[in-house]
Parts: sequence; C-alpha cells; structure tokens
Amino acid sequence: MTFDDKPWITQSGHRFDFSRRQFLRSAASVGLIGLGGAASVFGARPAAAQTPVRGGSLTVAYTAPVDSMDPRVAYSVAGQQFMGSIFDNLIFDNNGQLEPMLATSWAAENGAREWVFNLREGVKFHDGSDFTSADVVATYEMAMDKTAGGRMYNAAGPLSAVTAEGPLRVRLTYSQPFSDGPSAVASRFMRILPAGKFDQLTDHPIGTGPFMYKSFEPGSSATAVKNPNYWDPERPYLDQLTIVGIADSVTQQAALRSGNVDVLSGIQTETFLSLRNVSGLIARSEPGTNYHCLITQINMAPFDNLKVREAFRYLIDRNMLIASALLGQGGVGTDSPFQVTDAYYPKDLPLRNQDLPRAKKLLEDSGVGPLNLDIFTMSERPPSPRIAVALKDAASKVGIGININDVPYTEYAANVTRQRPLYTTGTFATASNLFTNLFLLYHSKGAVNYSQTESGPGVDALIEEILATTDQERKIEMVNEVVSKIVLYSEKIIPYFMNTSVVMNGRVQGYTFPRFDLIDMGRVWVS
Amino acid sequence: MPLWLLITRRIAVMVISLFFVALLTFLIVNVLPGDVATAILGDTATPDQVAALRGSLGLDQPVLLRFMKWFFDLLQGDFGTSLTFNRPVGPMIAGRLLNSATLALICMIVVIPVSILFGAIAAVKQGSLLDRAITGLTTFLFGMPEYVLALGAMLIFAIWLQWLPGAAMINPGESLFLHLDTLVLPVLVISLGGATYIIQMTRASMIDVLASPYVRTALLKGIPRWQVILKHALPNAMLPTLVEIGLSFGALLGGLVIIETIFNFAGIGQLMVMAVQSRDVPVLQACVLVIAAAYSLGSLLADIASMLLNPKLRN
Repeated sequence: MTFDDKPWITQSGHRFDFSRRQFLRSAASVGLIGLGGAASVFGARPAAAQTPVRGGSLTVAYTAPVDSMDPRVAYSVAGQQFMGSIFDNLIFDNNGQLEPMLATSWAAENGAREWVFNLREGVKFHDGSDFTSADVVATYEMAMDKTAGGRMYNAAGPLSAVTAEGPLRVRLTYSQPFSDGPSAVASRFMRILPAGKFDQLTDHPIGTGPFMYKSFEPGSSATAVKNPNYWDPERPYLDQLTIVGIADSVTQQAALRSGNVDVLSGIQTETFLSLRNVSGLIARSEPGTNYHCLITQINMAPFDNLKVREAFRYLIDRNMLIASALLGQGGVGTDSPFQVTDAYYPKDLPLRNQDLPRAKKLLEDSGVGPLNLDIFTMSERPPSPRIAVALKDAASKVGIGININDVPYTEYAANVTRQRPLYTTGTFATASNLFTNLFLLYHSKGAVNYSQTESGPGVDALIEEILATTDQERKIEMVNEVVSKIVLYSEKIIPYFMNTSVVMNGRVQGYTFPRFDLIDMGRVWVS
Repeated sequence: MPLWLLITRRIAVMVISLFFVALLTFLIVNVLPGDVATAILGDTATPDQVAALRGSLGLDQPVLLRFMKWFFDLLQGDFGTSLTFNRPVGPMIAGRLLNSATLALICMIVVIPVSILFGAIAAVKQGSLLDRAITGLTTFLFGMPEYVLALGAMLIFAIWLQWLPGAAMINPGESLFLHLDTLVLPVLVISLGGATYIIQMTRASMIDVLASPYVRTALLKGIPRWQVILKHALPNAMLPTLVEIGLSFGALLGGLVIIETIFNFAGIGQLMVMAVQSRDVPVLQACVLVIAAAYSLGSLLADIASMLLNPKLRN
C-alpha cells in the first residue's frame, strides 16, 4: 500500500479512505492549513529582485518585549531577535542551510566526536577589540556551566570540552559522536560573547553582529544602530533597528496603521485576519514550526498506563481545533516534532484524529476506573487553552471528567510542569537540529522530557545512534523509527502546528520568513 | 493643635504606612507561586538549574532577611538591583516615573478647568436639558471601565479615522514633548475617566452653595448673577473639590497601570505590570512604594489645604 492510498482517518468507528494528500488538498481549500499559497492570497511582494537601499530605520513589534540584554537570559522571540542582531554565531542557520558566520569552515574529526572550526580573521567586537578563539572558548565553557550558562546550557549539544588551537581555530569535543554539531552551534542560544566581559552584557551588550546596542527600556523597547565595521561590508542595510513589545491586539493594529511600527511579527491569528485585507499592508501567513503540546506525564497515574495515554491521543478533534483555535491558520499535529510533509515523519504512519469509540475502548481495556482529572493551562500562551477546552468537551463524551485550571506562567513554571499529570505547554518550535528535536524532548535525560522517562522501547539508544551517524539515509530511517514509537509512547500530544503570521507596511523589504530560526535583520532594508 | 504638629504627625503616619505597604508587597509576592528564577529560566529548565539560579540570586535566603536587607539598602537610597535585568532599579524607575508624572500632570491640567466649568454650568442650569446631558454623560463615563474607553478611543481615532497614533511609544532618553501627538489619546481617556467625579463633585457642591442664604442675599442686593456665581459661589464650592483633586493626583499615578499597558506607554505602571509577571521583587517594590508615596503625598497636601482653608478641621 502506498503512502497516499493509506486509510488514515477513522471517525465514529467507521474507517473510510481519505489519503493524506486528499486531506492536505481539502484542508487547504477550506483554509485549514496555511499552505505556501496563502502568501499569494494575502498579498505577497513582487518576486522581482530589487537592489537594497541603505539607510533608514525599522521598528518591529512582537507580542512580548525584549526580555534581556544577556543572550544567556533572553528567551522571548523579541529578545532572541535582538540578541541575533547584536551577536553572531559561529555558523548561521539560514532556514536549515548552514552558512559561514564567525567560522569560515568546519570539519568533523574522530567520528564526529570532535568538530574543528576555522574562525574568520579581522572580525572586531563593537568596542573595537579583536574576535579570537579565546572568545569562543569562554562562550562555550559558559555553555557547559549549569549555573552560569542559563539558556545556553545544553544548547550546543553534549559538549565535554572546548579548546583553542591558535587564535583562529577551535575544537569542540563531545561526550559522544555528534553529527549535528554544526546545527547546534548555529542555535539561537549559541551567540558568541566577548571573553572577560560577560558581566557588562546586561548594561551594554557587545557583540560582533550587524547592529550595535544603543538603548534598552526594560519591558518596552530596545534599539540598535548599524555596525559600520561589520565583517560583511555589504550589510546591514538599515541605520537603526528598534524592537518593541505590544501585547494588545488593538494596540498592535493601531501602531502599524498609524506608522508607529513597520512590522508586526509573531502575532495572533485574529490580528492577522483583521489586517490581511488592509490596503498598503503586506500580510503573510505561512506554515510554521511552532506548536503546543498536551503533556500526559508518563511517570504519574493514570498516564503511567499506556492505554490511557493512547486513549487521550484519540480524544481531540484536531481538524476542528485548527479551525476554531487557529482560525484555519495552521496544520495538523502529528504527536511528533516533525510535520507530515517532513522527511523525518514516516511516510506510512497514519495520522491520528478524534475517535471516541476507540478512546472509550482503550480506557475500558486500561483497567483504570472512572477518571476525574485536572488540566492546567495558560491564557498567557494562546491558543493553548483551547486544547484544554477541546479535551474537556471530548472527554466528557467518554465519561472522563476534566477540570480546567488557568494559571499564570510563573505559577505554571514553578508548580505545574513535571509536577502535574496533565497540562498544556508554552510554545515549542521544531528546530533544524535533531539534538533539540529528539534528544532534549524525548531522550530520558533530555531537559524537556518532563517525565524523564524513555519515550518508547529502545528510543534512548536510537536517539544516541541518530546523533552519532553521519549517513543521512540511515539517519532518516532511524528518525522514522523513533517517530513511530514516540507517537505512541511519549508524553507529548501535539494537536497542531501554528502558521507564522507577519504583517508589515509596504516599505519593508528583504523580510524573509524564518522556517527554523529568526529573521536576519542584517538583510532587511526599507524602500 | 498647632498646624506644624499636625503636619509632622501626618508625615510620620505616612512613613509608617509606606513601610507596611513595602512589607506587605514583599510578603504577598513571596506567597505567590513561582519566583524570578522560574520566570527567567522558564518551564524547560530542570529543577537543579532553577535551584542553582535561585541560590545565585539569593532567593534561598529567608524572606524576612531579604526584606530587611532591601529595607536597609533603601534607607541608604539604594532601591536594589533588578533580578531580571541585573540593572540598578533607581535609574530604571526614574525615567518611567518622570513619564508617568508628566502624563498625569497634563491630564490634571486638562481635567481641572474642564471639570470645574462643566460642574458649575450643570449646577447653575440645574434641571435643564444641558444639566441632564452633563449628568447623564458623566454617570455613563463613571461606570465605564478605563480599558473599554481606551480600546474604544483607539479603535475610532487610530484605526478607523487614523487621525492619531495608536501607541504612545517613546524611545528611551527622548522627551515626551517631542511626541505630543502620541499623548492625545491617553490624555483623552484618562481625562474622560478622571473628570467625571470632579464634575459631579463640583455640581453637587455648587448646588448647595447656590441655595445658601448669602447667595440669595447677594442676588437680592442686585449683584449681577454671573458675579455672584464667579466671585462668591464658586470659590466656596471649590473647597471639597480641591481636596478631591489633591487625592486624585496620587490615585491617577496608580491608575495609569491599565492605560500605560494598553497604549504601550513607557511609564511606571507598565514597568510594574512587567515586574509582577516576572516576579522581579526589587522593581515591584520600588514601583509600589513610589505610587504609594505619591498617593500619600497627594492625600497629605489635600489635608493641609483643607486645614488651611477650614480652621475647624485643625481640631
């Protein structure tokens, strides 16, 4: 049976043939999935290449403000975007294509247990000091420090040592063969910091990036100006970049329409839909990599019972959830970090959707008695509470009582994750590297495997083997095998992938959609 | 009792009140689930990472010990360091306070004459269509939450008509007065909300005064009506209104939280919201203390004005 012939949706106990391709086609036609074609519907820019214009300033608004001037702390998208403008990585992740940045070349040694990077010559930090291997060593040693590393900790992979081999050569040594080394190095958390100046970061961040720090108003805005000595003489084009946080949808719309801001990025679907037909604005919504999870904590009752976990996978009507929570601007979740179109998602693996009789049968077979559960969710992370509501509605039809608890994020982070059996998460994003997508999320020692339990028989060993192998075909086979296990065994239920929505005024150019990482502001210009 | 002694006692009470406000804020924030370590590291951090950061920020110390340290630093003029941004709190709130105070001051400059004028007109024209219109409108606006007014004004003037900027965004270090157009909507909304009470207060007070014997006598003596109203009735009717204005300035600073958040105005209210969300206790303490001090100071000035104008109150 071919992939497209596979019957994969079952409703009300009646199996009917509905191929994945048919689904994608019909979902797109009713707006359930924001395929790439959405761009043309909502007004994509002309394809003709234009010569970038130098100068001008750009103000970009995100829902949450820049949260820190320290790359070890910054976590909001706005904060990471600002850090990405001030600092460089060794390697730039251009939507999955790795390009030289502060490293001009790199190579694996000792079976990918070690990676050697040759560094760019003549690069200077914003304060005029030279960039050398000492800065890379200091940064990566920091990333290995659990206390001081902050968000950097773990981001570079299973690192065990970093050594300088001269002023322009660095060797990263891993605790196991790690073929994803360069991808991890390109992670949004692995910015290169100036050695010996870490304490100054919060007051005045100094990087090698295309923009230099100008000002920061905590909780409101951050501004950077062009770095005239950037190692790429062509860029940046902008003279000034300001990133602001605007939480309220009406204020976002008013700010864009009155010219306070040039770009609204990462906005909610409602805001996008309100603005998509406004003349003079360019509105784009494209399939994104962001998703929310429903966590069924494997190490806690009743989800220590596999049949209960499986029953919960059949409770939510995913298509309905995309229509109601995402207003059609999203794609069906696969319970894995890979979307159905991704090569890492097994071609013959059926997608799950609501099947209440099957869920009921699984619950009966599980042997657990009547269930009354609390689910925890956060209105601060929309639309994840809609998952809780959809689950509650469906669960009541199979005799499960669900009580929804909406808590603030700080309470959620302190008292819910890892401590409660059932909750929705904040926003996750599929990364371009398998260390993040598989090890951190599904390995029993992964920091974001909340249950700290193996996500299926043999999954830990498989993930370790995947990280070690350099054979791409073999890697895909093994990832397919892991995915087919985690969609059954793991703690995570992923009901949807959200579209990425951006609205900007017509003068903004070169603002490309990020598939995995952030916008490279050095390539943006204003006409 | 001498006036200076009364004032000294009020100042002492104010200082003690502020101490308890600070203590209460500190305790309440510590009772809330989660702290700045969980806010910084988020839900993806492992428990030992959170514990390590908590230790390095000194959050593993007993609550009262931390409060006393904060308090003694404050006595030396040090508001502490933001746990989230690792920056001194003093400079962080100084610019914000200036922005908020300027906004509040502009609002007061708009509100006071307009409210007194409309209150007086309504009282003089008591029972007329104009009086009913003013009273009806102020009652409607009084019952309308500020955020509804703010969103409504933004929708009409910034989105539909596009006459005014929707967000009151000021870049760090820039003067508010360079962006006066961005202040129109916040000032309009705050003034609409703030004027209602003063209009009603002025109207009620004026009606009482206009019915008093000395006003009737003045009119019977043949003094022109406008002169009686402006020279005799209005100044006397102003006493309770002035007290109310003094109180409302402090309340206005505290009430800016919603407006600043909606209009994205870099004031102390917006900073306070951020501090609550991130459990940044030193920043929150400073914001609460400054707003409480402004409120207390407004109340103190109102009391002093009352005592100066009405000697009976000194006893």
